[in-house]
Amino acid sequence: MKKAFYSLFKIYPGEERQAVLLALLGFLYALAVSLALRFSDVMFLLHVGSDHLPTVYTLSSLVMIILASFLLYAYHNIATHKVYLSIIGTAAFAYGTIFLMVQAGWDESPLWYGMRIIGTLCMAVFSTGYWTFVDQYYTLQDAKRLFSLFSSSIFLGIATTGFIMQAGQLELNAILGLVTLILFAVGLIVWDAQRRLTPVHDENSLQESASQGDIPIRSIFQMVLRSRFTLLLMASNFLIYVTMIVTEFNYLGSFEEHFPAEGLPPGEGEQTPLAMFLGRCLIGISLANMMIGLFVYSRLVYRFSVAGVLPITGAILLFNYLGWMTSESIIYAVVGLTVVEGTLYVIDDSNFNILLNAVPSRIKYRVRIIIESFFEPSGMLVSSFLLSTLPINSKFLGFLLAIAILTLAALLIHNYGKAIYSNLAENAIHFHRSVREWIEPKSEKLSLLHRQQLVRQLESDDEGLSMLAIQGLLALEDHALLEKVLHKMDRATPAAMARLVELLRKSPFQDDPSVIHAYSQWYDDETDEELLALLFFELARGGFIHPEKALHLLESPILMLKGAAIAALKKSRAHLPPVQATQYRLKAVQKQQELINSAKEDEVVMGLTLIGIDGASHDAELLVPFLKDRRTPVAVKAMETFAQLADFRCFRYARLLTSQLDKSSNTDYRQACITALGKVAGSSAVEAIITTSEHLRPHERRTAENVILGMGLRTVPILLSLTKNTRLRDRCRILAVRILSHLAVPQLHANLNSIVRQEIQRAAFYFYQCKTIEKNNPGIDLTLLREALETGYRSTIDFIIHLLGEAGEIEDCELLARSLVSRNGKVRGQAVETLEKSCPHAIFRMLLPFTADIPLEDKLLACENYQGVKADLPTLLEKMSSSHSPLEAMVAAMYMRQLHIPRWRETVLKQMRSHEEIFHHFAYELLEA
Amino acid sequence: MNKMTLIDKTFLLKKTPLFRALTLEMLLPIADKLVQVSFDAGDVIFNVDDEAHRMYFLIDGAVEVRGRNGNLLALLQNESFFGDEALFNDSRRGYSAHALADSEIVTLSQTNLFTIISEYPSVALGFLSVYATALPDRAKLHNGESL
Repeated sequence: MKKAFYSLFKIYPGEERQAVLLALLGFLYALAVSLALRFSDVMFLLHVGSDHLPTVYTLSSLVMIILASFLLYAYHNIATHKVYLSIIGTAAFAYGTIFLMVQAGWDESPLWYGMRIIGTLCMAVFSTGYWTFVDQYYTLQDAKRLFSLFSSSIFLGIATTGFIMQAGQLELNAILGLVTLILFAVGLIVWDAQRRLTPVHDENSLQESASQGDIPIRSIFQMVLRSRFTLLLMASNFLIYVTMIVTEFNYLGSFEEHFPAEGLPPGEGEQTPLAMFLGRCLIGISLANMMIGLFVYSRLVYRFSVAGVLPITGAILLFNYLGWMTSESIIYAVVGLTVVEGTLYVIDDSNFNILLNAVPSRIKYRVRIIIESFFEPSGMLVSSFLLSTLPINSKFLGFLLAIAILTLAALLIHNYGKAIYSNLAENAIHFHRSVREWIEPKSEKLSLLHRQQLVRQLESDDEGLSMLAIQGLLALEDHALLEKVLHKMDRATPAAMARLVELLRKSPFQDDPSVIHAYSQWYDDETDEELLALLFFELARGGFIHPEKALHLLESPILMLKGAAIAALKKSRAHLPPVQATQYRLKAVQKQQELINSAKEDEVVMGLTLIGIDGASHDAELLVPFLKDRRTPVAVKAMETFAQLADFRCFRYARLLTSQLDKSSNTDYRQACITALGKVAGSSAVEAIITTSEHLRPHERRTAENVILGMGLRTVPILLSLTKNTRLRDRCRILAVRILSHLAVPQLHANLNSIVRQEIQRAAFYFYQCKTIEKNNPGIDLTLLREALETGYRSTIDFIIHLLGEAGEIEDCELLARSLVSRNGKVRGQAVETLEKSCPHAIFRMLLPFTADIPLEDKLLACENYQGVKADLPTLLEKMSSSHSPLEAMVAAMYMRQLHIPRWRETVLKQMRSHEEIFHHFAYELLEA
Repeated sequence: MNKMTLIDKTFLLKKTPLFRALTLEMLLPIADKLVQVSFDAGDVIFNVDDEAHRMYFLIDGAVEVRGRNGNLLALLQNESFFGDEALFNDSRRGYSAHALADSEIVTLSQTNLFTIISEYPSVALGFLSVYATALPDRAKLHNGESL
């Protein structure tokens, strides 16, 4: 019974109390405001007349615009629940006052105008207050599942209004008293809910509240203007409001014609045929709304996504107006009423709550207030203007508006996926951006400000800070800024100047005439010996020292000067007779060799550096013995120089490079090694690079990716086979997928389905076993086994997400994968939505049990649909022992031994044949124990 | 105080012991994630038992840290950081923080902090170094005792 209840309302165990409380809140507020509004409608039509409705629309909209400004300010500065409580309190006071006025016998037009205007205001403001209040407790995926329940509770409130109207038992005064009492109850529930319930933490909304007052209104509008999706959403909602009023005008006009109010005594109207008919319509529509909200809407969204339900209202209106333009049948008026009271609430409001999640998080709530509080009155104002001034039939106007709504729905569908992803990417840290991209953003003003700030920081007393500024200024590659840096460094300390020389060496200004001129000038003026040597070396490296000036330094005890002398002999730009130039070069090579043969580490490093100066690919051979050197600085310098000089003629060293890439843990070494591999082995190095990429750090992986990308389309077949290879580690396969997505998306798409199916099967196996193994084998400590299974599950899911993300051309799949396991529910919800928008729907549905926040029981049920998921402990260990992952193989071997599984020794010996050294150490220990 | 630019935030990070070892290329994306917040004197930054989602860097002003019983634990000055402990052990705030004077603070979210640490492990070493240097003080702070 309980299970059926959960399934019917899509509530997960543990959510009942919160869901029921918020649904009750929705029911009561809707009952109060719809009772008040509907009775004010009837009283207005009967005592004032529909001809005066445009006046009501104008007045309501003007008051609502003022009210919305207050609301925008309030939500910006005051807690959500406090704003909502203030709204409820004010409404209760207003209806209490009207109650007293009616009680005192007031029966003038201003009362009916006032009641109608307050009714309209309450309908809009209460809806904003309710949904803003509820939204803080749910993520996007919860919203898709549960918000239809809350919408239904609102419809139940409206339906109850219909029953009360239909019954015709209550007089206006009793209605007003009831409304006031219900509003008090609503206030109490909000007060209680905010104390009991915990909001879902939202990274960006927290930033928002933390920086209250720091986002000026101007910035909010700028953010709105920058987001195309937000603009479309706002335009769509504005049009919906305009259409709603035009349609309301049309159906009220039709009803007035069909139900004339002749001979009605003043102040009465609760039991007229019009009120009874409206009551019946409201009951029917609200019940239909409830049914659709509870059982249809969320299932439609689940089946077709929000894009499938967006055009419904536009389409109904379009067809209705097509008939209404030529016929006065009441059926069109009833359909119009159904749209205004039905689909606009049950479908469009629910769509809006989902679509709002694609609005940039920082302005999400403000956009809601702008739309719900400003657009409704503005829509009213515009529609009353259109209705009273346009020389066209109001039904033709409705027809045109329906076309516009449909067009905007199509544009929203087109932009939704991209907008959701951008929202997710807002949380990302953009490590891949270059310094220049950061300092020179699109805004010229900001770019100029950044430059000025960096120049100012040059004067900092803290050398670390001034060097940081120099790094930024050099990255801008602006000659004027280089001059500023060089001028400033005229007065710097020798240590700072030495650091600058290092930075310049890595910059594009390395051989710039201004730099050479500055070096030369500093060399003449400087007294610090170390700096002098460094400057001399730089000048010699560039070929600006005459060999004769350097000859005497060949035996210098200062290594830098000695190196500079060798560089000068090798690469002088001075005009020398050929014989003499050859002699100098021979001398240089001889001295260079002496350095390389030295026992001192720094001398070897200098020798290897000198090989890179004016060297060629055949010089790379000299470096080979040093690639395996135990001294890290030597090995790193050797690999860097090798990467600098190597080309395809060094192909024979590809194997050595591959093994070195696997062995070294130094990041500079590995980066240089990957570059070298790309140069010497071409596409034949792809497999080696991908296979060894498991242990690479993020920036090393980026280097590997760029190197393979540079090899071009010829790498596609090997990359595809690596992607499919389940014997390969998942992290390696992810790299292959990443590169493939840049080189050959069609091939990736062609293979997507089969790869994903196979991986989901794996994920289901890991997940099921991980969650059930301990329960099925009580009395055995299986913690390690469970953790190994969990690691396998995470790794598989990570691979699937990367595969789908890359195939869906998502810019940052790492972000998507991380967001899916984020501790933040709102981020997780957006990640699932991004995934839904970027992969085929059938695959998304297969993946949903693993990515969505659903109860464990449901996840396990979903896993059981896959073959081979259930297995007893010995079978599981057997399966894991043949895994490509050393962790799984080790854990399996350990438990096989511990549980005395027959022939465990043979299994371990068999495993040793296919695993790396690390497994062998473990296996020996296990076998000898 | 004016709104800090990306460059201001980057240089602020460079001054803190946690990020001192990072280069400009590494600091800029992190600075991009810092959110500037202004607090008036007397404002509560967070209370004891509040959920912890962010850590704070004090740029300008003064912040007072008090324990569960309201006892004064520390007076923080410019370039101090606080509110980080609870992020690492997923607990609620063990102490409260109030602005003593008008204060400018930048904050970094827990999610972003963890991402940064996984990309640049040297930041974790920065934390370890700070914790090791001030271990006795930090232990007291964690236990709600006065420094």
